[in-house]
Amino acid sequence: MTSKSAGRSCLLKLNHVFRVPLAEDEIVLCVEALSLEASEITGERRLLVAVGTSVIRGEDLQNAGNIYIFDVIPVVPEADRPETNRKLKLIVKEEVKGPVTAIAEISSQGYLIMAQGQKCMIRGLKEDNTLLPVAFLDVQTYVSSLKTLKGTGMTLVADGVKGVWFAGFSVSFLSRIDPQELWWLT
Amino acid sequence: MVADIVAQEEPNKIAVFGKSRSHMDVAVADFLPHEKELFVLIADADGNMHVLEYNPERKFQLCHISHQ
Repeated sequence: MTSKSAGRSCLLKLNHVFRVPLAEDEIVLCVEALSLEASEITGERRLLVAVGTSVIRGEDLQNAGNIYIFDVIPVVPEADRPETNRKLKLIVKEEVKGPVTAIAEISSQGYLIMAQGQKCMIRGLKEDNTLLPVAFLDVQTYVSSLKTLKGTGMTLVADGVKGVWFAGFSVSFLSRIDPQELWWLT
Repeated sequence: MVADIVAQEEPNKIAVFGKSRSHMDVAVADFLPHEKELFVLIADADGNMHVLEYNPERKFQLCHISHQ
């Protein structure tokens, strides 16, 4: 018994720190920590938590989904519970047409790629806390996992039924230029 | 304005470099770069693990080289 209790005291206890309630018919399909570009102006990178969900609306309606981006912020802890000094602050919640089944970080610009139904979207976080679509790819059925090579635009799109695709993303040269810099063309 | 037209001309693109054969129920896939070649590791729904090789010359650019 002694050894058992001694062993038990070695275990770290996981406590519930913060809860984000979702809708009753909404289930989480993926959670990922991503280093995203939080500001287009300063180019600041921040480690944020991205959550993809599916909203099940019965057999007559198509599944919808949501993507949430959370920041982890320090707060004043509850009395006698020092571990509660963090909470998730919602930065973006965006409703999309399909279930968000996979999320990953892509390219060196700090974008994210997400699978929403039969479509993969690359999005960037904007100054006004919205997710700006940058590019998209039509895929087959259900994206079971998305993996990227860190710092590149190369990605693997794994389908739950129909194999795997290797795809690449590149930002067009012109979109990286501020149109105002092309004043000499006008 | 010319600048606007020029800026619109080439949108950001995702290009598909390669596909595997299509009858595979992939649960998880990941890159497996080895020396100068690219391999892809796949776990399917039946509990098999596959290694695919990326070869742009082939019909299915991601072709099967072994499974267990």
